[in-house]
Amino acid sequence: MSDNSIIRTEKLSKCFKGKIHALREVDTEIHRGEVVVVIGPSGSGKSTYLRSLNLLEEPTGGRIFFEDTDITDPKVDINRVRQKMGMVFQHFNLFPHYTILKNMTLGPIKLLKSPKAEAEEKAYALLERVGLRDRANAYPSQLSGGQKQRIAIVRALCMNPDVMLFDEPTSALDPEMVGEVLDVMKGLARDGMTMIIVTHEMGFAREVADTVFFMDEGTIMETGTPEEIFSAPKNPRTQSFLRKIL
Amino acid sequence: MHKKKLITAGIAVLIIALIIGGLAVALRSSTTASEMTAEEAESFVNSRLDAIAATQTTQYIAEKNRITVEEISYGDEKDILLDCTVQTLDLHGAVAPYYDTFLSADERKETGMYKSKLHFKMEFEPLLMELAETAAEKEVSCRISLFDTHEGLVLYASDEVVNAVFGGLIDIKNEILPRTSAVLTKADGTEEIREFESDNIKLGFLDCLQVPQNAKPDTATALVRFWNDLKQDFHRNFIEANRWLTIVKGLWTTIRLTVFALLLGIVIGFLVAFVRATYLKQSKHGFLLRLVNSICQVYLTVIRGTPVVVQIMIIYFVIFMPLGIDKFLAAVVCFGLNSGAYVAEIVRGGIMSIDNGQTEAGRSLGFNYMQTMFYIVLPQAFKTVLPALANEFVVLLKETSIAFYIGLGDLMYSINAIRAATYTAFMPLIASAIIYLVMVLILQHLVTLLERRLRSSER
Repeated sequence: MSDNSIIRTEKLSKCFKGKIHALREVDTEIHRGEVVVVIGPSGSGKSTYLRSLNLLEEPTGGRIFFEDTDITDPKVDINRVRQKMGMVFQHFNLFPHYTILKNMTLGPIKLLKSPKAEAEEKAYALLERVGLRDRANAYPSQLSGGQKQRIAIVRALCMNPDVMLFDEPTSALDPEMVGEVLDVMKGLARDGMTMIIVTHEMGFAREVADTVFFMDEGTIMETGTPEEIFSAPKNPRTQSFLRKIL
Repeated sequence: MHKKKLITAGIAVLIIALIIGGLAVALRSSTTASEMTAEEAESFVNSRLDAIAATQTTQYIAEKNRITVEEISYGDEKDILLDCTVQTLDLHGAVAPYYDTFLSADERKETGMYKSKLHFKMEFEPLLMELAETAAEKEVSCRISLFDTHEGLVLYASDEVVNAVFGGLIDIKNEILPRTSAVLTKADGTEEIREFESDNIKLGFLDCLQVPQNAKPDTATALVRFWNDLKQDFHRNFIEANRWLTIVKGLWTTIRLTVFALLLGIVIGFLVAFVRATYLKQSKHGFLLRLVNSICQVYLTVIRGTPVVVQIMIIYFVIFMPLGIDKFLAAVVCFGLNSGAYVAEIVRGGIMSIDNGQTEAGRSLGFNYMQTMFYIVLPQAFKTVLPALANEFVVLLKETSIAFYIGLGDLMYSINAIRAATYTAFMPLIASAIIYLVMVLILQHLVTLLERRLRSSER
């Protein structure tokens, strides 16, 4: 294990009720500042893997280390851990009853005990960065899909996370809005944020990723740089998958 | 738009009141018509006259829907008053709601309370005259008083339509003594002086009893009479003896009861809903959660499976009364528990209708389960269930009228007290309906305002 490892999974397994094995003993290691893109056919366990990392899905086996702490240990306060792991969902999941500003400052004020002014200042700065400063007092239903997803990203950033998890962030968007969200994510990657992204945007993966995981049938079939995976895939499953989508 | 709604509501109230009023008029006139047929009246009078001739003095007070018969018996010496009974006969046939026996003969002898024939007559005659005059003046009812003084019969009668007071003294052999003429003013306005002879003393009696039947007043007169009746009913039911104060007191109790029960219901409802939703959402359950969930489920089943009347009677008569706890608290607890069960199911539905993504987003930010519920799920759930909750509160407000079953002095209790005191049903019951309706309308209006405020956050 290298010094700058931030997330490590050991034999991570998830078995849903019945007998569907969503994850089969997945071993991965993600380093600080690394951008990992997870690709694979639907039902391959990508989302389950991502959601297990902050225990939104409770694994049925194996261990997860986050910053050298075993977070599957029941004694660990998972709520504190989650504060360090931002998450962006496919369906945005903004809180419809709060304004954009309140959506962003709720966590910092209630959980990090930031003073209201400070939290709002940070929120405004982040809104500025994604070009939505003027919508601070709007409600989520007044925004377009792309705007909502950008807000969802900066909402997670307000908590100063060490890692950002993206669960198919552009899948629910109209095609013309995909770009604006990906641009924000590229900016984040440039700034050195550790990111784990489940996506179907292969062009984006190739451009931004440091590492690509190809998953199928609940295991990571192949790992490599974008060049290795996209240009010269070794695993026959990877080859057939890429043939289908490219 | 707002005003329009209020106006619509007002019109609705008016129409309902008119319909009920019209119905009441119709029912009233039909009641009058069926008060007593001529044959019935005759046989009734005959039977009473036969009885009188023997030993008693009998006074009849014939009113709209009842005849009060006061029978006074004598002792052997004829001048000692033994007994007096008052009996009210319902003209529709059945009940005698009031029956009272005065002092016994022995008691009278002890207290020296006996009265000579003369005394007796002197005391009752002015009283009857006064009674008859008042009746005529107030245009209320037909009063007929017949005394068997064992020297002769004394007859007095008055009626609101006839507007006549007549009286006469006849001896027991039906010989008429001087004061036996009367002025009869008929409904059509004509006057008639009638002499009573031995044979038509009964006819005079019958005349008075049958007036409402025989006199067919024209529409205008009927309307005036109806209006006067209404005014008089209103006066008797609300103004007289400060009865409106009773209503205000009852209303205050109803409002207090509703507010406290509502608060208790909300607290219980949200707690139970919270437990049930948590139980249903999670796949693994700790022992404590399982236990609390079972308790909640039993509570919901029992409360929703039994009538609220039974619940309030059990809570008060079985549990609270033996402990000496007062009725108000019993009612608050009962309606709070009852409403809580329904609120719980409403709120649980609301919580479960909120997309799971909301919970996940909250948890992913680092909020724990309770915080996620409190900041994210419940505010949204509350907005969703508000109409259903409002409906439940309207039901609760109306349901509190059941507190009457344990004798709590709420609005319904006051209304019933007035009904019993004035012997009328129309005014007090319609008043209670209108008061409840107005309160419900106000409540619904408030909820509309609240809903609009909450909705503005999503526009």
